[in-house]
Amino acid sequence: MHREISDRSTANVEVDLEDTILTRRMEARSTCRVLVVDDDDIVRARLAALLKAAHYDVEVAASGEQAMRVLHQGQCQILLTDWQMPDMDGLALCRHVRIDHTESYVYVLMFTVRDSKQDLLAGLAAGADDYLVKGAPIDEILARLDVARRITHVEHSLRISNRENRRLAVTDPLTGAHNLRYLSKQLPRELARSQRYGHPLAILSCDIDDFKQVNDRFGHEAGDQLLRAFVALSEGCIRRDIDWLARVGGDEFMIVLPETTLQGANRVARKLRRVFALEPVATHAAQIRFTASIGVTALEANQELDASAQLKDLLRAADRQLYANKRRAGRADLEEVAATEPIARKRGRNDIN
Amino acid sequence: MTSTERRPRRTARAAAAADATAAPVDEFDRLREIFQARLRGEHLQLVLLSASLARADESQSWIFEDLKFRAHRLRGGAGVFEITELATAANALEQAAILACETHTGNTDASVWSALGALVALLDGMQNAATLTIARAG
Repeated sequence: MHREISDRSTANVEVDLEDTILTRRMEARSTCRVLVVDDDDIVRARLAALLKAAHYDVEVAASGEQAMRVLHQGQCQILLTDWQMPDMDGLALCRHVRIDHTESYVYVLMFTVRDSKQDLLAGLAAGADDYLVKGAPIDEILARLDVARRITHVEHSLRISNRENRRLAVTDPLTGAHNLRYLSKQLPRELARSQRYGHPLAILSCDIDDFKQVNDRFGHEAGDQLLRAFVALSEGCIRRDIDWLARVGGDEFMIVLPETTLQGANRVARKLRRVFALEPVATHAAQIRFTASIGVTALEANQELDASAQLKDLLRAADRQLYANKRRAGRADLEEVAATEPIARKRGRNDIN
Repeated sequence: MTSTERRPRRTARAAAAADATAAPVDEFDRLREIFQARLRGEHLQLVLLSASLARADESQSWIFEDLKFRAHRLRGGAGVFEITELATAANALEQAAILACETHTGNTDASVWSALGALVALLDGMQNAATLTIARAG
């Protein structure tokens, strides 16, 4: 009896598993869109009806050009295409897809009456992933499309995973801000753009005052919470999608302000210090009120770096300013800082011509 | 039925089978009828083309081109509707017409006449039959 019950439950588990797999497959199909391309309207309609019955989302196109327009919308993962069509045939379509669609992979299944080995090889060489001769039974067509769906699903997962890895590589895991690697990669680009177009660029070098004491008194967890609060508060004071912030050390941050003059950067710095001082940060240990020292440096519009000056000089200038402020005022008001004379010279009107 | 007993339920497999067969049947029927109508039209065109080919003296290349085009379309349609016999006959005519085009053969090309005759006879037979045996999906 016990054995019988056990067998029955095993059978139930198997049925459930099978149901789950089938349900998932149906769900996956419905999120997978197939573009059917054939110049023969009845063939196109028949294939579309078959695929819809098998729970695929289906788009149709009557020519290669029309197919390219549909594909540019980026909604189709699988292309089921005829070979012989007027104007752009299936081979040309394959080649165009391989050249144009590098953002996401389009799986190409060539479906044609051409059944010689030479044709098959030519189809695959043009970029088709699979080749099927018209007249193949419906279940074979669906089985091949299932393979296509599996492959596009794996490719999509890998693409998402790669994108996430790239994001993580330039993100500080503690605060979610950019990290030093991002700063080293992105700041030279910002600088080059500023130099090329003669636009201003400002950098704020920030450091939380007495951060070590926070760690010592309230513990590292409270310190971490303070760092996260610093980032959140700072991001609230800068322009989204234009300015950016990177954590470059324990409690050191750089804020990069493209298209911003020294005057504008000083305004941002004052705003930051005001915001930091306004409300204490709630940590698990205590409410902590903190201040930060900020050094400001900027390249004004049409100001160019001396040949010997490098990016590191710009950063060093911001750091110098930071420590000068720390020494001079302690936690007092930020002073208006001098322009970055030591590393840059003003480009005169005549220099432009 | 107590709360601990397993409730009878509609399995995913049953649901999938029902979805695949129930909903689109009308659409498949409609397409089959459209394809049958096309076959009737093609039958007529092929008969007319065979008459033209028999009469042609010099410029029969357009006839071979037209035969090639029609046979190709018939072959593709028959393949997708899983009418193997028709696909095979259309393929034979397409290949014969391609060869005739390439070799500039005259209107006495035996392979073209043979393939054309076989295809017309097949379409004739299908037209006379009460229904076409076109496979349904699912």
